[in-house]
Amino acid sequence: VTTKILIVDDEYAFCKSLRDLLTRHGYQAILTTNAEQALDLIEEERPDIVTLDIRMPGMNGYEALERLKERRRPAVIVVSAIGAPELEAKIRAAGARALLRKPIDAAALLAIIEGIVADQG
Amino acid sequence: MLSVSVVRSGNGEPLYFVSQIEDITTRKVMDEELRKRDEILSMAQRMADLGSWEHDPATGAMRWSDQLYRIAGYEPGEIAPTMENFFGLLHPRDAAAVRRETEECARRGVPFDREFRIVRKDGAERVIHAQSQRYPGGKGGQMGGIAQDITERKELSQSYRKALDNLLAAQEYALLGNWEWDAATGAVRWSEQIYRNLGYEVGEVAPGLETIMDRIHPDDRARFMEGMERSMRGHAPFDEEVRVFRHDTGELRYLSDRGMAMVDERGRVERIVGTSQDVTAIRLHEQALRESEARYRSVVDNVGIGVSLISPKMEILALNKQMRDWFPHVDVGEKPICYRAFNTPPRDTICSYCPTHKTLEDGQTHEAVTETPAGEATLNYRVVSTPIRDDGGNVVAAIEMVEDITVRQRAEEALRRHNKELNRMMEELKKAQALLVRSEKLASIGTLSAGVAHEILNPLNIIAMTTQLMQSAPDLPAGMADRLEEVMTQIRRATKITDNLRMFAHLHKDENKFVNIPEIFDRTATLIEHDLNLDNIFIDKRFDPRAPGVYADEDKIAQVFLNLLTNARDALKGEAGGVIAVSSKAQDGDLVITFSDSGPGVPSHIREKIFDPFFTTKEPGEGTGLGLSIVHSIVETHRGTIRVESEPGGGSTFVITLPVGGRETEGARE
Repeated sequence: VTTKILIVDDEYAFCKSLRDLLTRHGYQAILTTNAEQALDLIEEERPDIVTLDIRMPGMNGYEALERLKERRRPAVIVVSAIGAPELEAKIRAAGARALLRKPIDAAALLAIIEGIVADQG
Repeated sequence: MLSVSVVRSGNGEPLYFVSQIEDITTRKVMDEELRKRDEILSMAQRMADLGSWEHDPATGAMRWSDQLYRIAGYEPGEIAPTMENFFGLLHPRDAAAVRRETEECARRGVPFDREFRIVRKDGAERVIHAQSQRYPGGKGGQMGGIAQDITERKELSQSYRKALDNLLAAQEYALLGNWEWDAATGAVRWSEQIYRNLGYEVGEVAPGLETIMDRIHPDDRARFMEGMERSMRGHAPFDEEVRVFRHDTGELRYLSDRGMAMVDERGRVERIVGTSQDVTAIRLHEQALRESEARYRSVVDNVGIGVSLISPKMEILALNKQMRDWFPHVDVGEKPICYRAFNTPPRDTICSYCPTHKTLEDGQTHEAVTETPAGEATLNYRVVSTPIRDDGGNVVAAIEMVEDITVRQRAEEALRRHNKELNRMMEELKKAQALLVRSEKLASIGTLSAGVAHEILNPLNIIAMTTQLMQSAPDLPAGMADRLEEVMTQIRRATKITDNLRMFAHLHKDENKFVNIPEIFDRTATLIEHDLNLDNIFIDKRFDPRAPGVYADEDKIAQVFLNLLTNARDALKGEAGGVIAVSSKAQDGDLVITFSDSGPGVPSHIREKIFDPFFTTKEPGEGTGLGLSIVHSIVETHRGTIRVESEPGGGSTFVITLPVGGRETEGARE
């Protein structure tokens, strides 16, 4: 079974590059630039992992994270340019599995994803 | 035997002599006696300055006594004793009347008695009193008379009259009347001025005690009567001042009545004589003077400075209230010497600075400021002396004014001190303002930078992701992998710059607490130790264990240490066995922390600039130019200072001074 990853970021160019990278590494990747749509897609597509931006127009990533708080899947990896320690604490409290600072180190992201996949079995 | 008795005039001068002759022997003896009698008479006439003459109209014979010649200014017998010669002596103004009356006397026996003037041989004018009459028993109109030179008496009388007139005029001018009370009859006699003093026309009322009592103020009547009765009993001179209401105007006047009892040989009071003077003007003047003096005294007493009147002998003549308060023991009545009375212990000599002594000597105003120890403090007095002169311009006293200027001087001193303090605060304010301007600038840079950084990070993220996608391509063209890695290096560099910029945005939030400097340092050092070890650099820590902690933001102090360690590491790059020496110690209430490295040092011409934002000496790509600027900014927000000491080739030492204890750091700002 192929691991399905949902990419949520208001920068479409980033989404595409990340999607291609993940695809190249054997994952099934889908994307959206909108947090509300992301919630719909999570219901419809049942992704295993979500990479979630925080600062987005409309619903922001933190709100979306709160909605997914009690669910075991998908595992959420927060990807943000904001790097304040207090934010990190809040995000972890809201159930995020990991926090990655932008610009993203691809190797680091892939390592985190591999870890989650291993956990999820 | 001859007996002579003298008949005297009313004022006691001899007028003529009466003699009795007793025929005791022969005619010859009688003649002898007659001759003697003439001699005696002549002598008596001479003594009394009394001349006599006899005239017999029938024979025309006339006899002048020797003294009559002398009265006329001639030697006896010098001219013929004739009527015509007598008339020739008369003053032209009196001649006609005297001649006429003399003839009346001769012809009809009308006695002649008058004063007239004669002109003496030497031209002197004399006043003569002459009396003549026909002899009662004489036949043919025989007559005789006496003449006396009364010039002196007349002059005396006239000058007496004049003196009396003057006295009366003076009494009138002085509103002084005199009165007399007769004890036997109770009769009272007043001079005219008494009437006028009571407001009556002269003679308008009967003089008497009742009349006076009617006019006296009711409150003064009993006293007046008592005084009068005491005098009547002869025990005391009468001296009462009473108020009277004038009869004519009803005006209240002051009368000073004085009198003295005259007693007879048995000590009984015969009469009281006295004066009564209207002293209203004097009393009103005195009253005005008293009021004026009271006013001035009040001013002088309440002027808040000590005022003394000092005589040329340095005696204290008067003191105002302030001086009496300062020197309660000084009794002006004893005329104490000022330098004895005003000094404790008393001095025996004039005070060396004494301005009053100078004023009394040269008549000028002098001034001095004295210092008087009073316990621990020193009181300062300003003494000013001015002369008082009499009408002739002579200095008769000095007014010495003493002012306690201690309070004023202290106030001036306090003012100077406050001024100085104010200036100091102004300086601090200026410095704080400069700091504020700088901080505001940094804060603006921080805010701007944070915004820019965030916006830059997103495109950087896209570039980074795309680059990494390309790097993961299996069929990457030759040379492309290196190029893509270079892109990634530049992305990381740009990311580091934005991270530093964002640091500014967080600098101005304070999280102050009491912090332990060595602990913060150790924690910070662990972050960089790995790098340092790689570069073969060692840290030499010398924290004074007794150095106090400071009230600071722990994270920011950590940032300072990190930046300084990084800075030192960069300075030591390429040197084998570099050492970073760190120390702390207490100094003048501050905590002093130093970071020294043995690097190339900071050239003097850039020492001023190294704390400026974006200033860097590093190669492009190696530094952001913000590290030391952030350090400087953090130290300043903690009210500390930082400076760099450096000898060319001798390394650099950063010296941080932080205030110890709970002093407030600069207010937190977003």
